[in-house]
Amino acid sequence: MQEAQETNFESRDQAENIVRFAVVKTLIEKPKLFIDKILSNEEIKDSMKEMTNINIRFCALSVLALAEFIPFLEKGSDATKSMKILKSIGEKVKNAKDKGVFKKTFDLYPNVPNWAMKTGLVLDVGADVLPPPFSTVAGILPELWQIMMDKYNLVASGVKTIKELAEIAKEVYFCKSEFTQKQVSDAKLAFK
Amino acid sequence: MDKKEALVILIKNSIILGEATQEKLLNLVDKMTDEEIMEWGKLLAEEQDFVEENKEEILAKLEAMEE
Repeated sequence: MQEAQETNFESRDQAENIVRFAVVKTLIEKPKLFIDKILSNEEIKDSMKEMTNINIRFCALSVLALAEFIPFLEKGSDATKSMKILKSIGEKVKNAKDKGVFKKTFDLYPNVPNWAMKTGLVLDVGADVLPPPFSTVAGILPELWQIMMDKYNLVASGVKTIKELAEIAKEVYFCKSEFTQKQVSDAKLAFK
Repeated sequence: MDKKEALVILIKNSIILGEATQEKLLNLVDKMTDEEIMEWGKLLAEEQDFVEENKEEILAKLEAMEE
C-alpha cells in the first residue's frame, strides 16, 4: 500500500513537471514573436515598454522553470552550443546577485550553476541590454528546453509513459489550486 | 489585499515553481524588501495571467504529448 502511494506521489511530481514543460514551451514562443516584432520596428520598441517588460518576465519565468530541471542535466554535458552561449552571457553580467528578483534565486537554487542564474538576471534586467543578449537567450531557450526534455524523457520513461504522465498532468493542472479564483484574482490585483 | 499575503498565494499557486522551491521562497518572504515583494509579485502575477490566458494552448501541448 505504502509503495503504491509513493509511486503515486512520484507520478504526480513528474506530471507536474510535464505541465511545467507545456507552460514553458508556450511561454518561450511569445517573447520570440515579440522580439522579432520590436527588432524590426524602432517606434514599436519605444512605445511598448510595458509589453517589453511583460515579455522579459515571460523569459524570466522560463528561466525559473528551466532552473527546476537543471538537476536532470548531467554534469559535463554543458558543452552544447546552447549551454556555451548561456554560460558566456551569464559570465558577462556584473554584480548579478544584487539585482532584481534573481537576487533571491541564488538561494532558491543552490545547486544550479551561477552562470545559469546570472543568465536569468540578464533577462530580468533585459530592458537595459536589449537587443543582443535578450534576443539571443530567448532564441536559444527552445533549444535548451529540448535538451531538458530529452533528459527528462529518459528519466520519466522508466516510471510512466509520457502519455500516462500527460493524463495525470491534466488532472493536476485542474485540481492543483488550494485557492479560489477570487483569492487568486485579488492576489494578482495587489501587484497591478 | 496585503502584498505579502498576495505574494504567498501567488507562490503557492505557481505551476512553474516546484514544491521545494515554493517552500524556500515562502521562507524568504518575511525577509524581502518592499521592492523585492513587488518584483516577485509582478513576476508571479504574470505567470498566473499567462496560464489563464493560454490554458487552451497549454492543454493542446499536453494533448500533443499524449500522441
